[in-house]
Amino acid sequence: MKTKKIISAVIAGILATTAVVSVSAATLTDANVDGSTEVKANIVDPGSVSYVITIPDTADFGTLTQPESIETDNYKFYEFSVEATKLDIKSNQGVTVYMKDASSADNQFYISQKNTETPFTIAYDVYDTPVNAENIDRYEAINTTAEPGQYGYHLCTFLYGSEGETQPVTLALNQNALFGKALSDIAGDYSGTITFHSALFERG
Amino acid sequence: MCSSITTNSTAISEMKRMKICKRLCLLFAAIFLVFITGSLTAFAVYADGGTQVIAHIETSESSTATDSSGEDDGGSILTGEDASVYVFVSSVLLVASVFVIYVCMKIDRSNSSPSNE
Repeated sequence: MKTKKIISAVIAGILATTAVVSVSAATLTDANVDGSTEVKANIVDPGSVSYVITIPDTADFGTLTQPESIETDNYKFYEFSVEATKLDIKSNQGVTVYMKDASSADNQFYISQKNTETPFTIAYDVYDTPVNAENIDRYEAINTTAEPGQYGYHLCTFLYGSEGETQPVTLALNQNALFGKALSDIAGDYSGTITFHSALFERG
Repeated sequence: MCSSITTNSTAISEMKRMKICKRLCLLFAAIFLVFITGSLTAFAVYADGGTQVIAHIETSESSTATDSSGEDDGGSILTGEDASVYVFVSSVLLVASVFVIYVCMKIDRSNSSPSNE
């Protein structure tokens, strides 16, 4: 009798494990190498409007290198996409996406040195188009040309019918900011946070 | 007398065998709990909002900087694939513990069945 109770408990544990696997598989996706964070909103409306905008969980510049000369720019780029994964909205509606640095005081984007009392900060720019070393001079970063609003810089707008469309984003960090610094002072891990904000709006 | 001694020694070895089986099952259950906790933690990580921007600077002397695009090391975040592996391994361990219990029960029954003398 006691043995049967043990067996029943173990089988119940197996069923619970199966449920956990299902939940994990439904939530953890590999659509983006770095994972993705869903920005959801639910607006009470007779038409049951809803949307899902997918953003990356992490943007990794990798290992930065101190340049020997600053005669030319020494950029490190990171590209990702913001996707309108789901757009159940009306034909006269759209979804606007804004972005800003989570803790910046001057509305620019920074990564800060971790685990130090006097952290070294490095600025980077945000472009709303694919950018590389060859064409960067042809474009302007959104954080240098536009004025930020309450939720940051306007990144893109997804209109009705644009479900599945993506907005490319390029982060550009000029390693010339490391020139002349003592490596022992600036070595280590750096991190910053970009906050995305989405808003539903009606046209006309 | 001899029969009684044999019966007692048999019972003692059976008890030892059952103890070993129980301890194995507890070990499997403990490992399973550790893995399942790790899986749930990975789930919690992905529920947070925002995008974290990270970089690293080495202490060693560097060569001329290049303008290559950033590489993703992916080492600081538990990916969905890693979490799935953890859950799969914990499930296998749980099934193995069930199998061990079954085998122990079968041995116990076969040894406790009356012998024909």
